[in-house]
Amino acid sequence: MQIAEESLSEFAKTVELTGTKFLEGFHRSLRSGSGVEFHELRAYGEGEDARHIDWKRLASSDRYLVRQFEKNEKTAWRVWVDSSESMTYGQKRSWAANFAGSVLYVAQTLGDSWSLLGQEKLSLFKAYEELMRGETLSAFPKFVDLDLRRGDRLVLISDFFFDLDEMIASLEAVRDQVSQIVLVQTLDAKEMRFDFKDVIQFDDRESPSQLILDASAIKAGFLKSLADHQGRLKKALSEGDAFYVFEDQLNLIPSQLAEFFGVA
Amino acid sequence: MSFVASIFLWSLAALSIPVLIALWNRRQKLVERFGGFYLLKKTLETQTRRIRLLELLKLINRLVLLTTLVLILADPFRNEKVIGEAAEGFVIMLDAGRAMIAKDSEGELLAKRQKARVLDILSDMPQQARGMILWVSNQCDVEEWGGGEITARSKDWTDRLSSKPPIVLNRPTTVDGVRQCLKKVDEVFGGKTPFRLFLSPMPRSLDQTVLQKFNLSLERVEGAQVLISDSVELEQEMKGDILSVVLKKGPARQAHLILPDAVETLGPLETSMELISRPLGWLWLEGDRQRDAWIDQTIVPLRQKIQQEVTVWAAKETPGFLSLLAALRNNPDLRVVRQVGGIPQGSAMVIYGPTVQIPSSAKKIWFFLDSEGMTPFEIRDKKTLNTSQMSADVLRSFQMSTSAGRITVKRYLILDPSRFETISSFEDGAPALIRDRESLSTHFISPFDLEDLTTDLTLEPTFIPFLYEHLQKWLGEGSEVSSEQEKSELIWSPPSPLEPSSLAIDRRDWPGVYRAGTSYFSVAPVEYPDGFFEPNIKVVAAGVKDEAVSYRPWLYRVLMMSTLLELLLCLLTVPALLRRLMFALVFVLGGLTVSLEAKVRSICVGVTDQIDAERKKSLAQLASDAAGMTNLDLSAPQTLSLDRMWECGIVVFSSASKWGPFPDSDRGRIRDYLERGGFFIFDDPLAMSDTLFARSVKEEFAKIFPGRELETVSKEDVLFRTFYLLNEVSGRKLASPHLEGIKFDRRWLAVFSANDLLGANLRNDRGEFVLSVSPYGVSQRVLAERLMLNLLMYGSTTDYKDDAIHLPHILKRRVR
Repeated sequence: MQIAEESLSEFAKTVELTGTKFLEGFHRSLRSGSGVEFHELRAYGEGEDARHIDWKRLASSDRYLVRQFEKNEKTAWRVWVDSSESMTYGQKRSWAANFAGSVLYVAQTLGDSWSLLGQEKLSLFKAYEELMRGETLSAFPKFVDLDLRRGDRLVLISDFFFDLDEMIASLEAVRDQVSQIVLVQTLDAKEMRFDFKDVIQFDDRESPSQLILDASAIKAGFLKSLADHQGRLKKALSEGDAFYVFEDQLNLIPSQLAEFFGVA
Repeated sequence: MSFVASIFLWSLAALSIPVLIALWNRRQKLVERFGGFYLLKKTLETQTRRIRLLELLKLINRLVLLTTLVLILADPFRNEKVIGEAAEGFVIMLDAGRAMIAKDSEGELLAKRQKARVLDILSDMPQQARGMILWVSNQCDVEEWGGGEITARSKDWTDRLSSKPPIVLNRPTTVDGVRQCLKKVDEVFGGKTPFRLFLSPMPRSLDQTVLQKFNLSLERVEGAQVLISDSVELEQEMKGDILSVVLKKGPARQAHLILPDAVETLGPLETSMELISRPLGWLWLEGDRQRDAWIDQTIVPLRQKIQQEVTVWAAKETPGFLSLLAALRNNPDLRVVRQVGGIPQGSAMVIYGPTVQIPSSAKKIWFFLDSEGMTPFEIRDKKTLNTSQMSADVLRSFQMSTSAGRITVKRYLILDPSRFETISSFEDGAPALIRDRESLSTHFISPFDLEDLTTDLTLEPTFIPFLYEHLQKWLGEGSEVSSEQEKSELIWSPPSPLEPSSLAIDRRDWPGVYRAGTSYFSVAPVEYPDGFFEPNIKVVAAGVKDEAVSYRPWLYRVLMMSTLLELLLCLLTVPALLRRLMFALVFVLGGLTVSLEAKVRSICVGVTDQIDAERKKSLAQLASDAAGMTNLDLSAPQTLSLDRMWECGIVVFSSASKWGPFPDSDRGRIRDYLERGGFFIFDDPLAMSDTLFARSVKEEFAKIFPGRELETVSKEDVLFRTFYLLNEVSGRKLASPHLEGIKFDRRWLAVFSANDLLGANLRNDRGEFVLSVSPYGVSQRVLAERLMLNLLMYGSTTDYKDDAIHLPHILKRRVR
């Protein structure tokens, strides 16, 4: 799919503006902080300075993580964006492209290395194009086949509405190779809250299947399934990994980025 | 099925509404290409079937609901044949006499046919009609029903009779039996006029003319077979050891010898038969076995070889003595030895008139007293008994019932109870059979004035059978005289297609040989009625009429269940918010119900069994006063155990003994109770400082609420103004100037008064105060009552008087 030049520029502008805004705040934060570069999160050890605990992470993941500030060591961000049909619901795909683009921009600005999984050595602009297109990234990658290196930070952006077994097995295989796995689940408000009424015919975006249901009757069951599904994702992660659930609202991306990078 | 208002059936068209709604819902559905379809599908793996089922169930239920509503409006009914006359009750009199053993044209016993018919009739009775069933023979029998209750609903009777075999008694059915039953009906139904039906094959033993005067509904149980029995007359004669049996009248019969443990077939008895005499035995002349055991069978007790020897003694010959002698000699089982004067000889003797000495050899003595009789026995005051010394009471005459009729007894004796043990008595209590504790001999006493026998001939027909009957028992087993009826046991009965019912056996109605203790007796078959008659009136059919029985009660039940199901289904499928609202509504309604009930119910005040009765009464009085003075409706004190204290919001303890100690489980229970709103009032009845009760309360509370202890209640506390505005504590005596209590979360859980608040208000039955109060007298008593009332009010309302709204008024009152 060919992306129009204007659209791509527009996308790049949006992404970079979002990234720049975030970085401004980020730098302010660094200036007022320890003066070293934020590098990574690791588990909090007993006796360490409690000021370094990432309280937001604690609130979101219930884990004691310490923000590591190092100057020299650089992080390699390996990003995968799900572009399956379910991501076309609401603004999920658009949000995912914007969010991933912003992450890449921030990484580049901070001097970290980055790549889209399976699309190595792309320019940032090319990466934007790939994100906008989304097609080549639709297949779920087998991480073992990829050239993952120690210290890589694996960022998977998806709604994760697929069978998790394969993904979890795949992640397990490379768990020791990467420094952190970050799962970013993006959901539409309707998926998050299932605010439907009356009898609705639900069509699948990925198959011809359809279901006719009394939405109010199924709501509780759906929300429970969602919670269970998210529970499985969290369970698949190890200490130091992170799991975020972000609504697919573009205007929320700056705050979501802040949360993602662990900056207040 | 018919309908009262069939026009409403048009409303069934409304059934299409839920169907249309369902179709409309299907047509109007929104389409959503849902991103979370994967999860939705996963969710539905468990829920789809249920949801579809629920939708279907909902539709079906709505159809049922509507149909039921329409049917209720249309009021369907069925016609049932009901005996209209039975509205005030019914009485079914069933013939239970011998005739019921006959068979109908199909060979079925009339008893069974009658039972089937009565079940039919009962099912035709109005369901709620109450009635009774009586069994008629030559007497009236009432089946016990539910502990003496003899009336029951018709359905109950149907259920009961279905499981029971038919009742047939070995008696003829007579109008006297019917009359007795009608008398019982009048006793039970009083002024009412129940439907009265007599169900019988109408045997000829019933007097048709009399029967038809009874104003009864009569229904005849059709009996085709009329059986006429041939009577048999036998004569027995002893020749040495040989007993000769001669058939005087009747056809030749198959003869059997019935012994207590066996039945020997002897062959046909045509004219005569010679048997070796045995101590015990019966001759059974067999009738037609195909018919039944109660027809044509003949059971004859055979005469025994050994005759009992009895000495009949008198001091001198008198007409009475000679009468007795003659009577005894007529008994073929006795060998009578006559003795006049001298010392009576023999082991069994009949003493007529006074004697000077009881021979020690005598084991059985029967005393007859003449009009001048003197007795060898002593009366209770140890004086020798003679006629002139007898009191009027002793001499008074009385009547005695015997199986042979009523006998006038002219005299009886009072014996020395220290020497004679009474084994059996006449019905007025006079001893009949006694045992001499010294000689261990048994004495039978007949205080007849036998001289009357010569003049009062009317006595003879009853006296002689009485004499023989008792003589037999006396010579046999004297001690079993009165109780054999109850202990009798059927040991042999003629073979029969009809099993003897337990009712028949109990009453020795069934023909056969019975044993009572060590003695035996036979019950002869009662002669079969020789035919049936056709009654002129037969009114059951006339009493039957159609009655409309509505289906509405049943439909109401369906409606109720359907509505409940609809509500349940709605609860399952409505959105969570609405579900919460519905639950809230249910709770509110429930709460309203509870509050309405609370309005009706009093506030419960509990006490423990340690409180003394007077103080409990005082508390009851206070509770009653509170109702007049306040809006509190306090119950009379309920005595509770610790595990039941939840029933009351306030528990008052007053005891001179220790409170507790309680096991940890009970302490936990008390803690729960108090923390969840309960309130304890401790009132020390001793009104002294540092009593055992006060110490134990403090010790226990230290364990119930560790770390807390009773604290002094400030005079500014709300406790002093929950109803009355008080400044001081009060009570029967002022042992303590303070109230103490346990406070938790700004609420008093328990309050301790050391001053005997209840004692100050203790009154006697006349309403006067019993205990004096000191030191301030009457005013102190009033204050004690007020303080107690405040505590009760606090237990019910807690600290509402702390609300700011009350403050100005309280301050105003304080200033005054």
